[in-house]
Amino acid sequence: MTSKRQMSMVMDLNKCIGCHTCTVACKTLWTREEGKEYMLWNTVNTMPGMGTPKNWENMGGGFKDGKAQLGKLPSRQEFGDAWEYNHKDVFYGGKGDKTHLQIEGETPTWGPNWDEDEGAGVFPNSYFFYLPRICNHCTNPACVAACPRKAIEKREEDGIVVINEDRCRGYRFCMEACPYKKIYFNMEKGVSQKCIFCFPRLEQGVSNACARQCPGRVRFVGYRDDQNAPIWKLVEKYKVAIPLHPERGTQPNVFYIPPIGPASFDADGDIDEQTPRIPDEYLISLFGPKVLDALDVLKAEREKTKRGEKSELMDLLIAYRWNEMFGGFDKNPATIEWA
Amino acid sequence: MSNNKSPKLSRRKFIIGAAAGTTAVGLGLVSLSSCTNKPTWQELPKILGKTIQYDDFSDIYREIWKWDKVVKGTHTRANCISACSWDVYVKDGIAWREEQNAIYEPPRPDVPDMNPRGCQKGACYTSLQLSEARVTHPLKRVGERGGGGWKRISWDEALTEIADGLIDAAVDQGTESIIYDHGTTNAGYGPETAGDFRFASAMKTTTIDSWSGVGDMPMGACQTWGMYNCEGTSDDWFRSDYIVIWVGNPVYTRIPEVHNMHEARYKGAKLVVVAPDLSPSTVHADMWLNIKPETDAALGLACAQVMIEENLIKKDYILEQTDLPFLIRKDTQKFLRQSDLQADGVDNALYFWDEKTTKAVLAPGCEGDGDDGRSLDLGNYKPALSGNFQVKLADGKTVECYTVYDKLVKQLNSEYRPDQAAAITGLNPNLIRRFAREMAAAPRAMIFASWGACKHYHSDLFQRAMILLMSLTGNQGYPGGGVRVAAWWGLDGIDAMMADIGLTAMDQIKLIPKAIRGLTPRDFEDIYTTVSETEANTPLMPFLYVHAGYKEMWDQEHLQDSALPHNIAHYMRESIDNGWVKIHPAEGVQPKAFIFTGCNPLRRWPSSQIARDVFWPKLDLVVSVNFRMSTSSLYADYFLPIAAYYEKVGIKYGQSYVHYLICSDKATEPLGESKSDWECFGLLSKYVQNRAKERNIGPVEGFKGQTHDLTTVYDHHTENGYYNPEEPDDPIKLMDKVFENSPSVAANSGREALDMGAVRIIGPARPSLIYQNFSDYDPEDTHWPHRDFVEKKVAWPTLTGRQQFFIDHPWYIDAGEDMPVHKDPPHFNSKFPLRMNGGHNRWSIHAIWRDHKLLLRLQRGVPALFMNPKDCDPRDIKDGDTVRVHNNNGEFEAMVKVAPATAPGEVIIYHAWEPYQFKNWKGQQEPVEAPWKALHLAGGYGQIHYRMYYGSPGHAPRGAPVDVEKVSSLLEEKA
Repeated sequence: MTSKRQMSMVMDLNKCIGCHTCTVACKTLWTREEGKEYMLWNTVNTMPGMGTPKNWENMGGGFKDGKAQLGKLPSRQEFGDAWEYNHKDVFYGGKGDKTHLQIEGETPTWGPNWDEDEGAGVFPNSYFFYLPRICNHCTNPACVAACPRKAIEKREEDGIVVINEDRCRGYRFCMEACPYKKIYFNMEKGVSQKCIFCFPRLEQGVSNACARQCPGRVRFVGYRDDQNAPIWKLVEKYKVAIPLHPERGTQPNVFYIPPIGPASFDADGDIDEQTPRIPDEYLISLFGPKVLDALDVLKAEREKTKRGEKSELMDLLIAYRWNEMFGGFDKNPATIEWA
Repeated sequence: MSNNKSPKLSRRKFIIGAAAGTTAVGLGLVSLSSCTNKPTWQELPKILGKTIQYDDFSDIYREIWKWDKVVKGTHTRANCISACSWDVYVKDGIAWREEQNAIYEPPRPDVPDMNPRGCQKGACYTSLQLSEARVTHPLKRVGERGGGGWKRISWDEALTEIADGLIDAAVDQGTESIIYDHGTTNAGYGPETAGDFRFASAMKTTTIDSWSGVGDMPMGACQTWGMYNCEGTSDDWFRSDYIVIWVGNPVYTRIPEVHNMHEARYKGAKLVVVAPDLSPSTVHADMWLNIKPETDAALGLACAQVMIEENLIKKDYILEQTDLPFLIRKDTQKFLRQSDLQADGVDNALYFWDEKTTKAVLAPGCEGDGDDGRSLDLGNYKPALSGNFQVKLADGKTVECYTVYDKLVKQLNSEYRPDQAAAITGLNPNLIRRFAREMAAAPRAMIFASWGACKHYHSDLFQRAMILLMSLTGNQGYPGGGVRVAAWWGLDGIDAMMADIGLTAMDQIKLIPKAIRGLTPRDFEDIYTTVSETEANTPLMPFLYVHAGYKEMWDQEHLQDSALPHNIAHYMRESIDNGWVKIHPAEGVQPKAFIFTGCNPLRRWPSSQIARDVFWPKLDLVVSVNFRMSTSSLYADYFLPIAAYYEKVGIKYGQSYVHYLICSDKATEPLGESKSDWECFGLLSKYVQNRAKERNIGPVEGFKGQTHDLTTVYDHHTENGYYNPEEPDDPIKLMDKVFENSPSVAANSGREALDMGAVRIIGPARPSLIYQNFSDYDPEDTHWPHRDFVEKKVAWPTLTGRQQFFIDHPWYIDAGEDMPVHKDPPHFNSKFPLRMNGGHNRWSIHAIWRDHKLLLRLQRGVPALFMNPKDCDPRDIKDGDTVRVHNNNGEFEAMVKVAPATAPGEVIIYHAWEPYQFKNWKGQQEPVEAPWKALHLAGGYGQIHYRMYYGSPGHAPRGAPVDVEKVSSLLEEKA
């Protein structure tokens, strides 16, 4: 099963500010009805951290040496539930300050952004950055391989991986198999659901909600093979955009520009230019060894602009014209009129 | 009709009169737009959505993403400073979702465009306006205040009872006993705000000046510049080579704009953060200076020391644009004044030493230069920066003088060498030197200082040091350069917001000769001050001190500046007696009624338990006017439900970050019985007038003891019936007037502005102190502040006519703050070991969105604070534990996030949790004593005085000394 073309996304971690406008844009568009309340097809996590679902990087799945790996089925609590509150009781219950706003039911111990802005390391050489995630719409999707119903399709025309909800019977093997844990289960409908890469928008020439609504201007969208658009240049030409956990063998089509943290301090509190604040080992654990090459290219190109020289790569990442980030999917949705 | 009354001035001081302005054209000092032919605007062409028929599950998703109509909206009175235009998608009569109206065109090709602008909060307002917190019917309290007992009543009942209560208050104690506070909901530029302004003006209420009350008054800028507006468009940041984020966290607070900083890095700029913690804005920085809290002035001064010692300074800039060459008498340590040299000399004429003529010459541009202090142009003078000069006084005595620069250098070399500053700031001296050298070497350096730079006790000293650095390096007034806090777009037609408040005939006559010459910033300052005193504006902190029971707390010994010889009570007395600080109602008059629009005093005011326990019981009537339930509303007697942002029209106040003014159209009808602010306050004025007539109420005591007639309140409010706030299109009529009279923006009418959503700025507006950054607007360039001073040599509105670093006001001398210095705050030696800090947060605009379920889910769901493991471990505190934060003043409980990013010694709790989100409604402000500086009550000296929205004390919520103890563990609770 190969697609003729592959839609793709590049996310620039040097511009992501962890604001979750992407998360909210996705939520308000796709996952508001019954059964989907707890779903966040788009998430952003502070890294290092246990992320969403909790500890997902240690839940298995994917492939090793071509062989499918056993994976864990994440629980609703590990994703973080859609909490309800006692607003009415506080405002109108007549109890005054004896009752305050609280989450109803069991006290949660995890949520989708639980470790926001905490970081790792030892102060003042602590560090963190933001990692936004959607379904990777993999070229070798573990979810597709795992589904006994053949309910998951990789669309021929654009490589978007969609769950056919007519065929899905809710076995949830896909949730176990996905090494990125980006599939949710709809208890009301009894089907698995996940990011659809906004295909109804793409069909109208409009970019994904998470990308188009990103105020940090983090996300590039487009076909991977479009040599005139930013994605091909970032992934193929400059090789500065790399996939998350490539060792899981699914060949993701979401790529990341790795983060360059601020300089670290030496023991005397002076700047230490030699030791990166974000340890190389940590970045390698996320993106594989190629992350160091990508960082080298980024730093070298940045040195050029510091010297006043031109850099195509830096210009691309600046994204002078926002609409050019979207590989031709640049229509303004507000101008669409439905028949 | 009001448009026949000209020149006139709005109570809000947005404007200066049109006639006066017109004469200024062509004189070069101020420029006015002559854009009378606005470009015609056309709606974007529509495209027909493609029909795609698959007849399978995927059609469900296609059907979700369809809508009936799109309306432009924004969040007019959320008091979010990033105005963003949104497309509100309406489906089945409901505002279903929103997506940014991303149509912003860049002013020039070499900067990134501003799209898409908008954050996660704006992206879910459609759900907030339908959330549990939304109130849709008038409510009347049943039982105790704060008891949570309510009954639904009709608008007629509510308005009648409130009107009677207001009349009773006015009859008993005068109209100033009615307190109106718009607090942090702030003011828009149109009908969303004009109703309450007109009501307050027609009623002659006391109006709380909350600008500094929310801690947003950059006093150091006012002291140095005589003004504080110092921002341009955010794309101008992209032009900087060295961006310093200093006491700010734009990754949280400038979500739509901060990309410019990150993109500037790719262009070759260096991004530096000065902050105690590894703040979220540090994530994308190149260098971080992990400074000890509240030592920022010491860092700034040490950098100045390095720059001067290593001769990295821009001497020409300093000689022209600062007071550094001005002469100081060595014997008195005060400026050399004309009154020293001539028997009939004035106090506000100051001198520098001219190297050409080798004598002291009167500095052009200073307040008393004999030419109204208009221009700082040095002409042929060559001021000496340094030296010892003999000057003969009027009494024949000769005194030795030196310069402000000499005084500065002496002080820097003795107290602020990097090694000395290292001991204060905790920074390595090499790091300080590196920072100073890099900043000085950068072609353009800027300091993003943010409003957070106003919330420390000695914030003004931080700012004076920052401005010193930007002056020494010649950056203030240039693109990508200078200290940046904020500025606003002017809008000439904003006069329409007010009915007919204006300058007196005498004031107008006095203005004519000045207007003929061209008005200068100094003239705007004078006009602003005059108008500021025509109504009962009262800065919040003095109001709380006099009327709300805060005196006892703030008079305490441990909250005083130990450098000052007296307690703050002494300075308050002197300031009131001198008429420097304005107190309404006057001391001895009781506040009787309190009406607040959207703001949330019992959440925001420091130690709000004092307000609840002392101020509230004084009030016979408390009215909350809001779209959502808040803690303060829970303590109200009446709740008047207001239409949500997408249910009414309005103009968002225009901070200058974006080259557009943002308007909000009505997407759907107001929910339930809620009404627009415009209608609500129109009705309130109408009911007061009618009830006053029915009750035969004679003249009552009004502003400053003058009589006031309550039977004409509504006539006044509506300009004798020109407006009818109950008419659905009445607010658009007001907007028409705003836009017809505003040549600086592209829309010709209210309707056109609402259809645009984002209205392009096309030229400069009339200057005004409230928003003016004193730069002309060029639609084909980025916008940056203070161009008039460096390009046109206009004098700064200060005593010296320069950026002024030496302030020889006697209080400043007593406090040891005549020059920028570092001082420890009063709580420096507190026995409580931790310091509570915070800042505006990612997830809410003040308390709005604080209780939004989806956004809470993306946090811990309950109020949480950050602590370093080093402080948690000895207290046996684990992540997720509930802790008690306490000091002698108060306490609250919250969940702990154990964070290596937080500096040891700090407790960081971000802004604006509602007290009702904490156990027993004890909110995060309870331990916060928030002392403030007596110096901010000073007046009678050049730029040092109070005028509304300017120059009044802010409080210092940051750095509150606390300790923390564990209350319970999340995991134990579960077990």
